[in-house]
Amino acid sequence: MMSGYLLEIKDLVVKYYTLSGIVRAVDHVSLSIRPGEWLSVVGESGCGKSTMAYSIVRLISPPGRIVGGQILFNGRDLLSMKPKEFRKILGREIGVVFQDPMTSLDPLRRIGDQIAEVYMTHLGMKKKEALEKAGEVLERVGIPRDKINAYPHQMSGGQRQRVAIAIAVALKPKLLIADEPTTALDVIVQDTIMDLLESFKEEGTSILFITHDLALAAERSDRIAVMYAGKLVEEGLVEELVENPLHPYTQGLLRSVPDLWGPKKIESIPGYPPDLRSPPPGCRFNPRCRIADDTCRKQEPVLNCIGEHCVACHKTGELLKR
Amino acid sequence: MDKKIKPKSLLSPLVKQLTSRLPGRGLLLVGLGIVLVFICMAVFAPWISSYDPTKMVDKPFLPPSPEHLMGTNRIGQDVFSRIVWGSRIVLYVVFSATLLSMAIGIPLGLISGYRGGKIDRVLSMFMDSMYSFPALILAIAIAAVLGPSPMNTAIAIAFVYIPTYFRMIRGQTLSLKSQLFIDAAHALGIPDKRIMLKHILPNLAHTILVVFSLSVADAILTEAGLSFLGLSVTPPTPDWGYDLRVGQPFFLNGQWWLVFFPGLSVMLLAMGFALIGEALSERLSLAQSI
Amino acid sequence: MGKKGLGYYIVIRALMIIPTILILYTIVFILLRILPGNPILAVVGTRNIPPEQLKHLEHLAGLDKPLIIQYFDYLWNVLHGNFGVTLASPMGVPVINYIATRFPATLELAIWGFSFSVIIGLVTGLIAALKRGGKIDTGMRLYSIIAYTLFIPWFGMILQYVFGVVLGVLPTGGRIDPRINFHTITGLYVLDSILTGNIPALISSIKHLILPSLTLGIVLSGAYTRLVRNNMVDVLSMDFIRSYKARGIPGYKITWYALKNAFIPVITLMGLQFAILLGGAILTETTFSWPGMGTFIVDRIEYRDYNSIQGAIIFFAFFVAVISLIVDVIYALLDPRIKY
Repeated sequence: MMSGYLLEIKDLVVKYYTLSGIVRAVDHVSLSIRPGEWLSVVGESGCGKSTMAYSIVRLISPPGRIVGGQILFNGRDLLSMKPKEFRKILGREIGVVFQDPMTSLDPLRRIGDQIAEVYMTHLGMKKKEALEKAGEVLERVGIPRDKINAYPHQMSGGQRQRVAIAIAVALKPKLLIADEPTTALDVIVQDTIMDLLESFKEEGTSILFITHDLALAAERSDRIAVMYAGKLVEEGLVEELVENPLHPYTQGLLRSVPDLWGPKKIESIPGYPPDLRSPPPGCRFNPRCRIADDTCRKQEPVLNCIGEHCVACHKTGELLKR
Repeated sequence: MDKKIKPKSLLSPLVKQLTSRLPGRGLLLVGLGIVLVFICMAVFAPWISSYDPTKMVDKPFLPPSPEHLMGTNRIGQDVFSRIVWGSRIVLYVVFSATLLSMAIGIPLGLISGYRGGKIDRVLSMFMDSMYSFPALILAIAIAAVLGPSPMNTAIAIAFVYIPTYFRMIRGQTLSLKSQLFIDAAHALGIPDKRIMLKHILPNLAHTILVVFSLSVADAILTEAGLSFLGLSVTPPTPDWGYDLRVGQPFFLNGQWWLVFFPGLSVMLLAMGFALIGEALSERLSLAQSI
Repeated sequence: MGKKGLGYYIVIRALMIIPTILILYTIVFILLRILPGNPILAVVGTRNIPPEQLKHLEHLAGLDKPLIIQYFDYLWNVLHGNFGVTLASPMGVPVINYIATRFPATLELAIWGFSFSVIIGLVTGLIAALKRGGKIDTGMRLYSIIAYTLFIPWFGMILQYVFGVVLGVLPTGGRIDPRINFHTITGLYVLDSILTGNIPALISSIKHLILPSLTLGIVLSGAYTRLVRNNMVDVLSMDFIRSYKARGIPGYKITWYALKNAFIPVITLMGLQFAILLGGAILTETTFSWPGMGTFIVDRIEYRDYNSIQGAIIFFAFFVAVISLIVDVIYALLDPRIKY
């Protein structure tokens, strides 16, 4: 299990120390991504998926703190690296695309300059050469090269997101982290962005895709990880997970996705996600779970794996029978 | 922060401020402390000062000593007594002016923000023009024309700060107006005047407190400025700014106490109110973001 | 985004300040003309003077015409540079003459004072924003409160005492050593000494400028610290800052980009606070015997010379309106999102 993985998150713990209590945003989560693999992390708002992703790139700011665990990138622990060393990796080997394209670009600078800057900072290129390269990567993401002198406010949301992607992939990183990159865009544009991301996967870039939309994740991912209330509840290859979801939460998510092609009853999961300052004892999903019993209410389940398919549920045995 | 349809009392925000554990309480207490010292000084002036501030009580230019805590000035008046009694003038002028400003600015701001339309446009244009003009110069013009007296100074200062209250109240009213509970009140058939008085105004209480503190601080400096220019009181009434002006030529000769104490008083009193205002404003924005 | 567009933008903005100027003019006019008292009698005191002389003086001041006529007359005159004549000591001198010599003095003081306050404000605000939440942040904000509650004359006198008397390195009053042979072109002494290549004048005028502008600058910087800090804190929490960090851009560059973004609203607010600057300038001038518009107004008040006072204040109103126009244009130039 050691070698072969591009990114290994081991037992990550992230807490937010707020005035009203300590929030356990990410509670002992472990995940791995292989080179060239698309892993989607799915969950409701507040389940910790974004926090986990940001921990990789040190974008957790106070009152949040990474309290425990390791994040290995190509075998090296990112969390214990010196800042100078870490900055060489960020932007160069790991790229990040954020959710809202309207606010994630500097409004005062031309997009060409912002892209070129990445080349100049990490590769020491001169401006002229860097702008050349910027033009290339712009075309690669589907924006005409002559837009290189445009300001962000002169472009649409979809275009801006492409620019953000261009900046993230400019130096051909090994891992691309995308945090809900299509949530703020309309469905048609969403599809083109997903296509673009997939094209990078095909060139060998691993993709860590954060979303609340299980259906969207299922479209393109190789593997899916489901998070709930700061914990990882299920993980597996996408076909297996969708065909045979083992965790009641995953099952609930799948049941709540409308189906265009046939009549299907949509059910929502009753209840609300727990307050992470004082999560329920035992399995965190138990208040909303149909099949929860006393064990579920007392003991936290551990992650058990059958091949590539892992689940954290006391009732796995019963579910496997179904 | 949920807003109820029931009207709230005006005093509760003040009490909440003093007791809640948000940061900045230290500054708030320091500011309050300073202000209270000066208010006591003004109220208990006859008992605190040993001499009549308007009369010559000793030789002039005496440095600070046990008999004269802050020395004597050019005419032989006791500086300490003048400081203590001066606080009455300053507080009187500033509070009258501020209350007058509020009495005019707040209602106008409420109506303008709530009703909108032509009234709003005209008033806003008017107030914005005044706001952009240097306060001191406008005050000088009014005070010069009316003549020197504490009441006239108060009027001049009041005039200058009306736009400040107007803008603040108008802005807040506009943002409150768009909130759902106002629509609900409308739907219930509650008349406009009642909505303004019982529902919008109490929610503005905190803002009013903040603006009050900060504008009082500013008004103290403006009053001192007018007084320094000879436009506030006539001698022998004690006023800090005026004493500063009179003492200026002697300051550079080494008789520092004529100037140091009046100026320090102005600064401390203004600072007291400023600290209160700043602390309150910080807590206001914190409370709104939680 | 063309040069021609900029011209139109300026013109439209200029048209928008006209109502402001008119309102201010009206307010000042009403204040000084309609308020109780006959200005002429106030000047000459309540002695009995022959009615013909009174009428003559009233005519000199334009007071014998109906108020409305006076209103428009004066406005028309002002637009042509005629601010009336002085009413007392000396009498009959066109006010514009005084404005022409006094205004540059105030302007020079204001520019230097403003520059100091901006620099100090930027530095303290930036430090406070970068170290927000900590002791340094509180310290800077405390500085800001202390600075703006300083009473200008008091602070100025202290500086005069320390640097002028105790240390004896800087002069305590005036604009320049009167013994120096000096020609003025613009009225801004520093600029003029550079233009005429007059080194002793340059040194002397700078020396005379330091204390008053520092006084004004420090007191004003108090308001700016808070402004810069709050804007910077806002900008630093924006999404694109997070994007920059994720690109591996070094911290000092990110701070610079944040500053540029924060700078635009800050500089416009600073420009609009120029009005406060002028108020402070008057007190500074009086403290340092600086021959500017402030000391002019104060002197004229003693003589009850309402014409001069009115002229000076109207002039200020125009000036303030023009400043806000300039600030608008600068804002448009700095922010690429503004279309013209």
